[in-house]
Amino acid sequence: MIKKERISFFQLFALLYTCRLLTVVTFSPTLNDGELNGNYLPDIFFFIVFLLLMIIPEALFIKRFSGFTPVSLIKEQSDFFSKSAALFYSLVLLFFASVSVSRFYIFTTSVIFPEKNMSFLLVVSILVCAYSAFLGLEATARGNIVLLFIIIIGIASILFFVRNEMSLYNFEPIYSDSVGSYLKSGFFAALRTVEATLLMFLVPKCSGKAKKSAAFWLLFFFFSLSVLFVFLNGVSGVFAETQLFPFYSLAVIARFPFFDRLDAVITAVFIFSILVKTSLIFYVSAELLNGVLSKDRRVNLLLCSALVSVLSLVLSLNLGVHKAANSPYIFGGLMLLTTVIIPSVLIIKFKGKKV
Amino acid sequence: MNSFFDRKEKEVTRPVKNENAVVFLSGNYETDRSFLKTRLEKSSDVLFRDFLISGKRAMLVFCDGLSESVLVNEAILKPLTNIKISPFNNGKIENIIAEKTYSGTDLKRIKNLNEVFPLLFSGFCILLCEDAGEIIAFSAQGFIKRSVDQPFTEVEEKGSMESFVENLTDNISLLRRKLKTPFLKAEQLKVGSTSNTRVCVCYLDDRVKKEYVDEIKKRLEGVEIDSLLSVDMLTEFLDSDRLSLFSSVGRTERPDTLSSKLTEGRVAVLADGSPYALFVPFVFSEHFQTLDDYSFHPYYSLFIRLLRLFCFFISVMLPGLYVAVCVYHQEVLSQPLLVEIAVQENVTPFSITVEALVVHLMYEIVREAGIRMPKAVGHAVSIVGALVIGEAAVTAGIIAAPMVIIVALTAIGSFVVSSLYESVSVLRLLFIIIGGVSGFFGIMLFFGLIIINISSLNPYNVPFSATFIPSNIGAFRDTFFREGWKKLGKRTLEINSLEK
Repeated sequence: MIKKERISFFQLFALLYTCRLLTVVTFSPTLNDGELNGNYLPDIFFFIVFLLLMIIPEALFIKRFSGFTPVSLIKEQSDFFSKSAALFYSLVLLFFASVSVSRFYIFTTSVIFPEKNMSFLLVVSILVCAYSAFLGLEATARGNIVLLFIIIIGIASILFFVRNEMSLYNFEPIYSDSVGSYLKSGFFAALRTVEATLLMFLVPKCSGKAKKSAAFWLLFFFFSLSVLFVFLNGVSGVFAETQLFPFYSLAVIARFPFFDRLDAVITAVFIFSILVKTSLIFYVSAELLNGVLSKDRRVNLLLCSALVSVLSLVLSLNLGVHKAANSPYIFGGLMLLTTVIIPSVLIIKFKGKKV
Repeated sequence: MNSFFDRKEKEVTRPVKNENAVVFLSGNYETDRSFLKTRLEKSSDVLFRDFLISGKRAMLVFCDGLSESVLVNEAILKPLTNIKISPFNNGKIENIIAEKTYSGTDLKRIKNLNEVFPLLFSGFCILLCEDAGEIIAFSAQGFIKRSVDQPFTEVEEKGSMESFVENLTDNISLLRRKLKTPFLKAEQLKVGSTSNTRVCVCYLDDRVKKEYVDEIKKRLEGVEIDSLLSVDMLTEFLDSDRLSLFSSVGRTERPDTLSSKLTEGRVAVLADGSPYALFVPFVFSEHFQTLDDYSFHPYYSLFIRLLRLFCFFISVMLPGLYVAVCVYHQEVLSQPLLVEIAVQENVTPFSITVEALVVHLMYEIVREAGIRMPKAVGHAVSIVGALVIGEAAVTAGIIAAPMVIIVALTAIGSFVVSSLYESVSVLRLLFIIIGGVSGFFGIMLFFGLIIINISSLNPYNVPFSATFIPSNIGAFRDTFFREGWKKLGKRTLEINSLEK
């Protein structure tokens, strides 16, 4: 009684929302050197606009070649290039995962356990993510709904208990900086959207109403991001720019009658989102590596875990290395290549051809 | 490594043999008689009665203690010895015996000699007759059995006081009394090569999905086991193939609970000798539902179900969270509370992690002793447990008072959802260890892993995490919130509608 894995579009966009939420809550002005400005609200609008523009080639690809991924489409022409593309995509996704994991590692070593060596726990976490990926896409998607519910409750509770600390004086006038800086911030933020790359490989596994789910989650993302940054600005103001993890600092400031600090809540939010994001990337990478390296999913997942463990430890050796990996030129360049350029090339290459 | 353990296992075990090979009647009375005598020799409770049926040799075999001797004498032996069969009668002797002598209700005709033994040891009387092409088994059960009692493990405040018993026939009759419909089917199978235990698959034919029944029957027929002594032994065979601390097979000892599950299109499995029933498909949220919820007002049902969920989380995570907070995240607590805990914990010789593990293990020991020990000395366990763990250990400074409070809350919480006790007790210890080693980091990671593991279970294509995920708003009418009976009663849930 085993049927093929399928999830709904609602679950898919919920997964992508959680992944993106990780990037938002682990946002670090210090590590994103050069893109800081005092008022993020216009950034969010431009970020959404640039993101939608960037995924146009992808959307056209999905519409034109329904049921296909770039790798399966290339396979129609050449098995060798298909395997090369699969290897390339999986390495890129694993690189993206390593950057997220190394960001999280920096968080744990700087904030949670500053005196402790977290390498062993990091490797254990990655293995847990690999196991989640092994359980399959449906398990991760369903688990994500529960975890996302807890994440939203957690974030909402932090914002609720920090509301008294808000001050209008902390807000800078909108457009106090030039429009150009907001465009740049929005563009760079869009370049860090790994989820756009994942979308192409997950859509063939989905069923249901795509447009309705996409619209809902996009609006919800816009709304939640705006609320988060309003509170961040309202409570922390300029102070946020000096923090390694401003959202963590927000949780520290929050006062609950019974507990002095709610940083445990934000830690839980970080952990749940990294679990979902890394599991998802591992799942997609293992699927891509199926037939390239090994047909056994477990072997592929172990290889992915090993690579991400090593790479994330290397990337977190010092902040400079991490910044370089996270820079819009490397990170963003890979994202543009996988999400915009390759789908566009494939659309042109297979124009008029029947697949 | 596996082959080493396999080899060592083979040195001390033998394969489960299927001794139910077909041995047909030979046609020679002496040969068949000798076969039965040889197989049943050295069994002092098995009685053989040789006699004549209208001049033909016959032998009656029955088990003293399982068959009712008065019934054997009056309803079987007497009519058989008095029967007169005309030599011109061309009918088969077994037909004449079956139709004209026995006035009882249940009669079986068998050709396979090996099928005699399960029937003999179920209280049937076996007749072997010269020139008969079949062996006839007459129902004459008269063994001692337990009468219907009140449930021990599923206590309901407002529900009935009946529970299942060991006798399979009585259990099916209890179900029949709840569901007086011809659609209630009870298909019987035999499981266990030595025990030949009767297992019954029950379902409502007008609403069950046929694939569930076929799948369950297929799994039961594939069970390789020497003796099935309890229906719970079948849980692993009916469960999801995926490794998990949670079982996706439901279990109950109440006929009313099982009846309600059958009306939702589920399939039940009962076994002779076991006062419990298993049912599938089963979803996680059902652990937090009891039959009393349908007798209370909806607002109270909602409250009590949420309370059970809260108790589950308390019983699993509270000790681990306490250890994590005390060891790594003291800043979370308010100062007065922190000072109080620190003062109490400071005097104990163990680390908080070890203390938590020791106290919980001691609690498990006391609990296990309370279950296993004779009833007469049961009071001693509670007194010793309370005095030793509670009073003396705290006074001596071995354990801190906050830890005792945590254990007490945890223990009481775990009894609220007793069906999950197995999983809770193991998870609790794991959370303590993880909390002690890695604080909130490890606890949250492990919690996330458990959620994903629960979400991955899909036995019979029904997600174990239904009705939450995939969210089925239609099923929310009776998940935590329960609609009033005026609305709830009009429609019944179809479990197959929750399939992914």
